[in-house]
Amino acid sequence: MFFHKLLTSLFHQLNGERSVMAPYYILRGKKSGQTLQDIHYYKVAGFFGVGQDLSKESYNQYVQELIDLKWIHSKEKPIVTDEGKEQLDEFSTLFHRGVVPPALLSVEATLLLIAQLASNALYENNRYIPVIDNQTIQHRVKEWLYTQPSLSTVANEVKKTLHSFVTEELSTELEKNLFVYRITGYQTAGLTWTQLAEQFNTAAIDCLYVYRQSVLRFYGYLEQQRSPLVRLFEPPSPLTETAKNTQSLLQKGYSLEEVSMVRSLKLSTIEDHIIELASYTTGFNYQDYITEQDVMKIKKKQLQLNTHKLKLLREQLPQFSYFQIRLALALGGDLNE
Amino acid sequence: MSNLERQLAERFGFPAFRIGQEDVIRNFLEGRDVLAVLPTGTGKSILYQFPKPYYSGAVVIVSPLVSLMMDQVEQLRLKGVKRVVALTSFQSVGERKNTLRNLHTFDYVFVSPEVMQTEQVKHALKSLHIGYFVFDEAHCLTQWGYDFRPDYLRAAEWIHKEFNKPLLALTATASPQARQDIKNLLKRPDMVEVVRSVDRPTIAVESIVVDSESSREKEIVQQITTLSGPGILYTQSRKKAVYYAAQLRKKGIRAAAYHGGMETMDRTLIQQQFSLGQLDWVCATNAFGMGIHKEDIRQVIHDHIPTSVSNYLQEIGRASRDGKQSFATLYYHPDDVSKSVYIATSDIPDEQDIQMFREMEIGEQKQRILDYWKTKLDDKHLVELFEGIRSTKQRDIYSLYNLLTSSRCIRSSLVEAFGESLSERPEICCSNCTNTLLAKQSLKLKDQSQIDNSKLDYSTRLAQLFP
Repeated sequence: MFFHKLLTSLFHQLNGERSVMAPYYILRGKKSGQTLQDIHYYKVAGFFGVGQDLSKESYNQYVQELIDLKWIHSKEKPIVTDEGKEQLDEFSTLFHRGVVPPALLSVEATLLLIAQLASNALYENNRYIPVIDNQTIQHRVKEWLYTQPSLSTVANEVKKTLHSFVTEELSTELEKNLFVYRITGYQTAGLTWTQLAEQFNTAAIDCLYVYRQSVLRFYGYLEQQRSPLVRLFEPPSPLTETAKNTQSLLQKGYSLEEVSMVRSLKLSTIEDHIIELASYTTGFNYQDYITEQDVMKIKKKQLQLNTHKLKLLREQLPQFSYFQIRLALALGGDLNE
Repeated sequence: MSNLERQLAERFGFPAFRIGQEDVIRNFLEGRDVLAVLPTGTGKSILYQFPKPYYSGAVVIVSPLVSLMMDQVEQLRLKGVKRVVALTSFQSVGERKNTLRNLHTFDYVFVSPEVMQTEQVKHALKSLHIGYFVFDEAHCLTQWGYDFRPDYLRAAEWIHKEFNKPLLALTATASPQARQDIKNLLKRPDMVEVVRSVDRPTIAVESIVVDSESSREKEIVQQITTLSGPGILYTQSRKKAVYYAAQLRKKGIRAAAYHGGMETMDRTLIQQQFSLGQLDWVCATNAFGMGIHKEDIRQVIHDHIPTSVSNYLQEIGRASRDGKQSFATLYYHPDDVSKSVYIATSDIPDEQDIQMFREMEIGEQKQRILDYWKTKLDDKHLVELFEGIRSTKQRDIYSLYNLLTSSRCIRSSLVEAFGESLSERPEICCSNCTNTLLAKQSLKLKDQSQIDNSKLDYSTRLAQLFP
């Protein structure tokens, strides 16, 4: 039921103000102006991109299950019922914290690859088929290895880190077993979600998300321990390629209109990039587009009306453009807790 | 010991060639193009690795099945060959650019027919110093085979147009007619054929009739729970594969399902588990098989009639790589034939498809086939061509069905379908010649060793993974 509760949590935070598909886009990590804005205001940034591989079909199926369970009202009104709220009573996960997580699928893949490498190295075997065939990940791991003193140092570091992480940081048997049995190593292949689900008499998707939470915890652990493995796992910039391009033009002194012309993109698209930059870049220079007082004004009104609906806010604050309102709201989110 | 055998030992560390390999290599080194028809598992990488030092230039291997290609690249790397690369549509643009820029640094270049359609790749290949070409899975060139790939044919045509190099074509099974077809399509009608017999004497072939689906299920589960594996159960549908795996798991058998709709990672894990002996049975659709390098498969069971004798042989051929006695059991019901015919012919365009194909969605494979042929034939001839293919496929299935249901020696019938005649019958031959039900008892499970009682224990596993 882990995943069902997770989904219900999201609907709860969204307060019925967004469509039934909104949690889907949040879980998938969709980088649209709307979603990026929402994750901060509804305080669900910690769920962003955690389910990058979730299919629409699956999602719709789970939503239907929530309706059947009577945890949410309906597709048209995705509000959490009292029954649903009860389920959320003691439900707290690592995803509930405010910060956008690193790309978990990438961290997961890197973890599996480095664990396989370390295991084989400890058995002095360098001939095996990589369990991850994603070239980008393989490349990144190789590059990182070149910066390390030796393969055996790395292997021992990985062994030590995984051991202390599993014994000290993970609390339940489920978490520990999922984490360890997913690893493929020397002459030992990891188990599939179907197999793990069977062992624990738990749905495969629940195992998947409990595991992902552990992966997230692992990443945090590496940072906290200042482990030499951190650099290997550091995610590449969360900004989309296109936003980065806009950013470099802005840094060269181009105005929004000029960027729009040079890149042959609509002005509204460039504005979307600004929103993305504002959400992800600490110390973003928003003063070119809106003053600090105006940001305050907008945020005050937002709290007063208790809404994030742009139309309503604009009605009350006609002196600001939609862009400015979106920008002010995006700036409100705390990326660094 | 011949000179070639000595080289084999020095360069590769093998004491002897497997049947057919030496003939292929000798003919090729003597300057002839060769079509090698050797069953899977015979070790084909030797065939294109061996001649390399005799030629200057890279070896370009065209392979229509990407997963097979990647598997071969892995196998080469595992053997220590470093200068090997694959060009497929799964690479990023950046990666491909980089590879093409450095193409001359590789000894073995694997290319998929899809990327060979691009100007970039064509240009790079034209500038490359090439020793010889290898056409892997050459049966995919022919219409009549079970796996026709139009892009592969285009690639072969282009290579013929631009180059004049020695050719080595490889395939696991091909009837005499398909072989001639391949040679014609490669425009080398004088290519030497080296054909190893399709017969596998250590695989006993059994054909058992059932009177209902439920009794079939019962018997299959019974066979798996009483006779030892490792084994593969081939099902016709994904649903069945999943169903059987669940049934077997309930009985404590270390089994898992495998099919094309699963996540890539899960498929990789199942393959590795099977190879490493962590699984005894895989219940799979015919998507399973590539990349399986398992020597000790003792049983292959079918719950349906495959769509051709070739497919059937290839699937049962996965057993007994170690040469020890194995069993291939096919459980059939008379209704199976029409089902298989339906499945085999559903991808062949019919008259309506031909007329509609530019305006509507007609299915991916049909689209692919028509895209290729529409430029070469007019509608009337297209209809004839496809009618021909359709009836051939139907005939193929009936051939297999007849062979499995007749009272004649199944082994003899199988090899005759490939233009051979059986020279010698093994002691345990087939269900028409031998009491295979009795013979199978040699696989009887003597203890509970294949029953899975394991419980997950993370600390033991951690210690095992990281000693």
